[in-house]
Amino acid sequence: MTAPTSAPTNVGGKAGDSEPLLSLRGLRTHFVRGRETLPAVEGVSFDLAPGRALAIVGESGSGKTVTVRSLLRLLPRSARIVGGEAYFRGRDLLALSEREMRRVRGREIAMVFQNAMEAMNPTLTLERQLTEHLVWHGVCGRAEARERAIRALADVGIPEPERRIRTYPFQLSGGMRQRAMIAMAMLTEPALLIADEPTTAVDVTVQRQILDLLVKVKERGTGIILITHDLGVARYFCDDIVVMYAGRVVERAPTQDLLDDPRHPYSVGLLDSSVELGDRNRPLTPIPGSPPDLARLPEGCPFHPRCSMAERPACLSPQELLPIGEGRQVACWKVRER
Amino acid sequence: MLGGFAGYLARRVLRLVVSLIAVSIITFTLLQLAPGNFADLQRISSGATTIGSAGTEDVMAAFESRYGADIPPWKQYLIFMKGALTWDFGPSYKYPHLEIQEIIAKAFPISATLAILSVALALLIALPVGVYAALRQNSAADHVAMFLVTLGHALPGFLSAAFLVLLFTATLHVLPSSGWEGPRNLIMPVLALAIGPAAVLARYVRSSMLETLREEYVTAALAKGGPRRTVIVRHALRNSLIPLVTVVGPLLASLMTGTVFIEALFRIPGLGLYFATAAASRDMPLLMGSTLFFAVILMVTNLVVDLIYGVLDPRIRAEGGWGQRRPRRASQQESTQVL
Amino acid sequence: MGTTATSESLAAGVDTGALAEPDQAGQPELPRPRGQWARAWDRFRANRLAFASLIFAGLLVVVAVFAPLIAPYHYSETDYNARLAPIGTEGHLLGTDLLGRDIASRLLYGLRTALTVAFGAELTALVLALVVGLVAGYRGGRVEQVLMGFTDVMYAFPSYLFAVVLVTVLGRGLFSLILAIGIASWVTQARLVRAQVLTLKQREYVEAARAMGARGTTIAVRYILPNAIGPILVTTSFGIPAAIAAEAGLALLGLGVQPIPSWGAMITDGMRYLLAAPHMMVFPALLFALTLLAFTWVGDGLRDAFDPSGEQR
Repeated sequence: MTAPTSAPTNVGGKAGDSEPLLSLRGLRTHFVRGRETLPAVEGVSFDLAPGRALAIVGESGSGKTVTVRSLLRLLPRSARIVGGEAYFRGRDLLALSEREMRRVRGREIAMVFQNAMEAMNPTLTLERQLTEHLVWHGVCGRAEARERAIRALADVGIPEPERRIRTYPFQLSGGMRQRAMIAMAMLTEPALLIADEPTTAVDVTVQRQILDLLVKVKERGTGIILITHDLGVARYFCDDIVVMYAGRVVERAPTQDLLDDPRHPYSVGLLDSSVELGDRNRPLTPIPGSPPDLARLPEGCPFHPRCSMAERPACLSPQELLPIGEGRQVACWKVRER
Repeated sequence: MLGGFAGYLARRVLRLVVSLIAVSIITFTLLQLAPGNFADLQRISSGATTIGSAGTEDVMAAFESRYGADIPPWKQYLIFMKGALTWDFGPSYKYPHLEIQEIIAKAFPISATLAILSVALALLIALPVGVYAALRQNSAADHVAMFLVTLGHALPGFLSAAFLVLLFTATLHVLPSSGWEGPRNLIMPVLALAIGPAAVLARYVRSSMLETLREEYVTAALAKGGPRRTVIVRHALRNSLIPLVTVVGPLLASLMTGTVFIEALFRIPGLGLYFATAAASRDMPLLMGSTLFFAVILMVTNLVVDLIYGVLDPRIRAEGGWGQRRPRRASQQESTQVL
Repeated sequence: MGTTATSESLAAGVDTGALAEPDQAGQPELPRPRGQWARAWDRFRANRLAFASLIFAGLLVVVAVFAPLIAPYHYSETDYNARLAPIGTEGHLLGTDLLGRDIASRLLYGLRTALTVAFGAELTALVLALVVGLVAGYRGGRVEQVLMGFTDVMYAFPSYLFAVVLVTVLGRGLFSLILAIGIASWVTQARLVRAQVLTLKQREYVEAARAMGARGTTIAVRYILPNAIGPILVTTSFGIPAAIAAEAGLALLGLGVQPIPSWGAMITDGMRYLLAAPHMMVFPALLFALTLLAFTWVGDGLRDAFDPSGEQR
């Protein structure tokens, strides 16, 4: 039984594109809990071309967050990256020293989090928080950084930025906070922006604002990795979707293709249980069962206990990602056969 | 209903005054219950270990002139309180030629010096230890540190003092065990006084730090490329220190207790020693005076601490959340912070 | 029961539990569930430090009870031929003090004093706390207000110092010492009792009992009290070393019970003869420290046994 390391088709790139911005190959991240080892991410691969947006979709616990945190090497002490490479602008992120990694974080790869209220230090002014990394990375001095921050706030549509910059995070509305967080991330003009569930904690009106903002970011040429459990959000501006389950990729496809014609039984289930998409009149069918306990993963395909099409003994062997068309891959032998 | 800061301050001061009155009444009543009262010196002199050289007659005369003979207790109380408010507690039993307020004025600075130096030392020890233990949670160093903390917490100040004296005076002969002449007299008392608070503070710093390190903004700061040390100090440490301020109140109370015993042990002429000897020789006015003084100091300090807490945490300041304390509950759960 | 380990919960740092889910054939059977008390006892026993401390503390209690039989001399028995005698003097294993009294014997009697006062004071405090706390929590009203008022006042004022004042008032006997320390420390425990009662009042079995027509006192004593005992037991066990320290402190100040020996007084005496006869201070200090630590660790162990997640710290 070897870890699946499929050669990824260039999901996210058009023919004739330059090298992908990010090329993740076979990432494996394990958590150590007492004597157990929990495989949170087991063989995840995908590519991201510059200026494109990739959505990573899956239920809670599928390993989406651990994947991107592994990229930035921001994992808790109980975690270990045990395999894989992450090529970003010609370097393997997973092999960099901590010092080199620090130069990448916040400068070439930036991250915005789900809840801006929690992701911002409540006792520091916006000015402080928005400018400190510019100074850390030697982009400019404090005074200049302040000017840039003010302009960035204006860019994301926050009124009276000169006044606002002296305030504290709790004094902003939820939507403004979230937008300020994006502004903060974009100040260093990173090549890649990772957004971890940026719309989950806000209400619907703000969701739209955030998504439009992310569209603008993409138009400026920044690559985006968007983590979400909400297919509607993914559809809004992402070019490709990667579906994850139990730490593995189960399907990869361009967005519209996936939404029109999902192939992996899990993807089908996701769409069937999604509220935002599809025909209003169709019945909502949740996927039976619940996500597996990483300590006791099923043998072979992790989804098979909940899969309506499961067949033994074939489903008991590990599924590799198999190409099924232009830019699409699925990790299910049955789909391939169809 | 007054709002905002002014209202909060007013309410707290009111509570302070009411509490003080309550303490004074309780103390006064208790002392009345003791065999003998203010004006009845025969029984008191038989219970006292020594009376000053002035002799009973002088003391009696001094008291009669102040309180009068055969005055009902509540009037005595009022006279005493009136005096207290005007910083005039009258003469003490044991030292009838001295006014109590003189004694307090002379002795309090000594105790205050001890207390302040101890707190400074305690902080100096506790901060690095607590932060280090938090960063290396569950390591051997952490366990050792926490074990020492338990020791420091369990042993009362005077016991630590006893061990220190045994070491430095009896064995090494480097420090004096009593007296109040120079800086060398300070070392052991301050050290002994600081151990307890250092232990409490270290544990608190560690918990607070552990909790703060789990906050998402610490990870976010790292994600921006922050150097480890800067993130620890500017983001984690700063915010974890704020709730520490809430510990100062109870800490001060225990510090006050500590000075009483330490001063008695080392024979340092601070207010604690006078309090103790007043109790031993049943010097009622001095006992009451010093008790009240202690109470005032404690309550005022608690009030100041609460105000400082508000200043430190901008959320309270700006939102007008005065009166809503946000203490961080110390949590010892397994941490998943990235540092 | 344990929760499943999903990577999200891991990343978020949730403690994902320790018990395995029951599974199909092939997995070992789960142990039969034990009662709450038995489980707490198991946890306590597993904590080696706490268990050893409990044994040591028990030993101390036994020694204290039988001190007059164990001690080679009476505590006030003087031997003018061997004053300030050092360790190992014939007949006086740990030496003598300035009056020729045997230190070892005085240590044992001091232990007796310490434990008598401590247990007595803690019992007093407990009784007061239970009564007032139960009434304040269950009935509320005037009693509750008075209790809360008390705590506000006492919050600022250190209980040791209050004990000093009380001793001055109550006189110097053993009984007054017990009362003084007990009265100085009941307030925090009463608050705890009240808090427990308030929580437990909402539980369903209380409502059921009330629906069946049980009277207030019955409910309080038979339903609420047994379930509140856990935390109360913990605070009580922490109160004991505090009371021991209080007794020693008071003795140190000269407010103890003469002429019965007390470690605090022995330490003060020892200070005076520090250079000539350090053994006068060493042994009381050591034994005092060991006793305190033993009882403190028992308290720690109890607390962890009843609340292993450490949430109530």
